[in-house]
Amino acid sequence: MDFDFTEEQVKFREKAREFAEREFSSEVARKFDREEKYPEEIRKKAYAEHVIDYSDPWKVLIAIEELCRQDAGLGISATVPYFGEEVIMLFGSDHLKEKYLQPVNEGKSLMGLAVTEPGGGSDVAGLKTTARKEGKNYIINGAKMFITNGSIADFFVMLVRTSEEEKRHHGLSAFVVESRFPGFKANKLKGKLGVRATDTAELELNNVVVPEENLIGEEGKGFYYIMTFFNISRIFVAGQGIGIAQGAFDRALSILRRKGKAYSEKEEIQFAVAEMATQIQAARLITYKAASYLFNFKPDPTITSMAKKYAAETAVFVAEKALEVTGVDGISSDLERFYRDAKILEIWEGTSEVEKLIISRNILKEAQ
Amino acid sequence: MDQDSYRMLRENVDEFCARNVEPVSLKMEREGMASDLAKKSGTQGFNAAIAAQSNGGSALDRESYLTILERAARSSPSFAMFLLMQNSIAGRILEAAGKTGEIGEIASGAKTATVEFLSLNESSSAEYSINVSNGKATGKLRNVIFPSADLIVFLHQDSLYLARGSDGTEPLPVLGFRGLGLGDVVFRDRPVEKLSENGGAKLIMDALKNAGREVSAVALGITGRSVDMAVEYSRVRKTFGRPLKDYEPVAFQLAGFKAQEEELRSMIFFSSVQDGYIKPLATDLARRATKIALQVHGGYGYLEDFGVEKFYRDSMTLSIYFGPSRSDMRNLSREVYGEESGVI
Ligand SMILES: Cc1cc2nc3c(=O)[nH]c(=O)nc-3n(C[C@H](O)[C@H](O)[C@H](O)COP(=O)(O)OP(=O)(O)OC[C@H]3O[C@@H](n4cnc5c(N)ncnc54)[C@H](O)[C@@H]3O)c2cc1C
Repeated sequence: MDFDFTEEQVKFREKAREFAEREFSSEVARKFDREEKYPEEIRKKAYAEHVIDYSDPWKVLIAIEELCRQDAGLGISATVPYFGEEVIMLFGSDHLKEKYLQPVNEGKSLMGLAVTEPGGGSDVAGLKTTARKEGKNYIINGAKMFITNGSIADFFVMLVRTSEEEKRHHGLSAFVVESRFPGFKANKLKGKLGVRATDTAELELNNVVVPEENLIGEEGKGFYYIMTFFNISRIFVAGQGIGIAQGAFDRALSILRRKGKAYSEKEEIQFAVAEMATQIQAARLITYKAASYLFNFKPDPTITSMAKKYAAETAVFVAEKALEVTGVDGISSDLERFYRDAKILEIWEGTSEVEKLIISRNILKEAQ
Repeated sequence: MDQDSYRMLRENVDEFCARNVEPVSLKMEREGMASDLAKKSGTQGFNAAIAAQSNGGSALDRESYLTILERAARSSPSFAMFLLMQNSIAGRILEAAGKTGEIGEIASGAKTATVEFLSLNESSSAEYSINVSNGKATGKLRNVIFPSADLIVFLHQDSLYLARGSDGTEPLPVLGFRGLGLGDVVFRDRPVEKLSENGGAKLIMDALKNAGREVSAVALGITGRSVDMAVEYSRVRKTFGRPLKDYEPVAFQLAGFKAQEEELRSMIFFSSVQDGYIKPLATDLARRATKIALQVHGGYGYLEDFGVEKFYRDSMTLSIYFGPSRSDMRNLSREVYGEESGVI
């Protein structure tokens, strides 16, 4: 067991932190939060400066952590243009990889992952959007809800129903759907509690014609592909959690330092500091453990779900505690944004309740 | 008042809120409270609910006033906070200072009022940079709740002053009670009136201390409405073919919160338990309940349009603005131990 990062990874962390501190000033973060605008220039800069480096998954995790530590809305916006990429990478044809992934990897286009529907997100197998085969095409009809990058992405990995099977999840397939296809419409959703720099939209799909070569992998295997993807992406969501928690903690400490000893050496404050620090450390350890399994090609979905759930709860807990200990000073500072941003982590990529179902089902299955 | 009168009052407030608050509640969150709401609320006697009738107030008993706050918070915690500020904080202080004319203006909604009190919170280290000389104030008041109010009461060297308007406001990031906002208030040679010589901090602290039940009533309204919304949503939202209410964790948590809400209600309205004991329970319950209420709504809970996220923000803000602060907890500890405790 080795808890140290390589020298290169340590240097990369410094670089990512330096980038975030330089680009995500308090004023910039507040502006994007207020205006609910996607930070396209920041995305481009992050790409140009190689803050996102797919050559090493640890670097991706580190970048997410460091960027969210400075600001979650901007940090997620800068690291999410590739959201869903692994589905094509692992299961897509060479044609799809070349046509769609290459421009994304070159920073020229943006993608998204569209699974959730207005009628439900937790119950993935219950989705209702359909794809009907007609000659060499599929015709897609339905709607998707809360889709990150929804109004700005060039294409989406989309999970839809291609057949009615007894086991509902056997009837699902994944496609690449371009936003310029006729019949595709995105309505940007405004007024989120937090992560307001990120773009979120509702998608309408009205007789959208998708060529059959845009089917990812095999028909009927979509549910399996998406679940495999979630077992990867949840580790990165856990990274968002560590970042937000650490960022809230940093800010609480700096406010406490400013307030001086008479305030911050009271035991109530000391205990809160210890609790925050301990929980962040624990979240980091479980996330790195899950990441280590995955990056060494022996993923453990139970640990992954534990990491996602625990890191999300840690972000919420620390943001809340940070406000408690800093009171009036904290609530009129950037900490209030951390409090709003943190809550999304218990909702997206599997709510905390869904993670608990996965964890317990896996454990109970193993126990049988 | 008898029970029938309280029920009628509750129905009146609900009807007023359904007609005048609910429809603008989201707009209020985004753009601040419109002045016509203060006037409409004035016609109902809510703005000076507890002030003497001779001063233009409604002279309601405490239970009636608490009822108004609770019901208002169910529609819009911002509106409830407005009423709390007009009555329990600004109203009390202005009435004690004999500013009967201003109470009349507040009562009708012609004027709105605020008191800068966050600087007295030990968690505040904002630099105080006001100068008052020859009846004029210059400088900046920090962290003022409702900075756009017409009448601004503030503390300077332990004296209380009243300013009519300001020379500008600088908004701060604001987590909760967005209808009122939070910001710094700028004065440039602004004429001010001295309300009290010395003892000003104590006057404000007393007003805050005496508002413990009122703050709890706001927390009760926040808890009640957010949980009710979650209960309703969980009846109709289905996952895996079943309504959310059928799942034990959803039903048990929400039912548990309803039980705690009722317990809190009876403490606030029907018990002689001291305010200092109730407030920590009330703000804590509001924070826990609103978090679960938002969570039950899933992704929809994260959107302003659904009206549940504001309760999550407001409950946290309520506990920062009104406590229990560490000094409240020290008072409570002193009460329990009969001597100074919790000092290290
Ligand atoms: C800002 C934002 C961005 C998003 N981005 C994307 C995206 O890019 N792509 C995408 O596909 N989706 C995205 N989502 C959707 C997100 O993944 C879903 O909101 C989430 O999966 C929950 O689904 P839901 O909102 O339909 O809630 P529901 O599934 O309706 O669940 C509601 C509540 O019930 C609970 N619940 C459900 N079933 C049970 C049970 N059996 N037992 C106990 N509790 C239960 C849930 O945990 C939740 O608390 C995004 C959401 C948001 C808010």
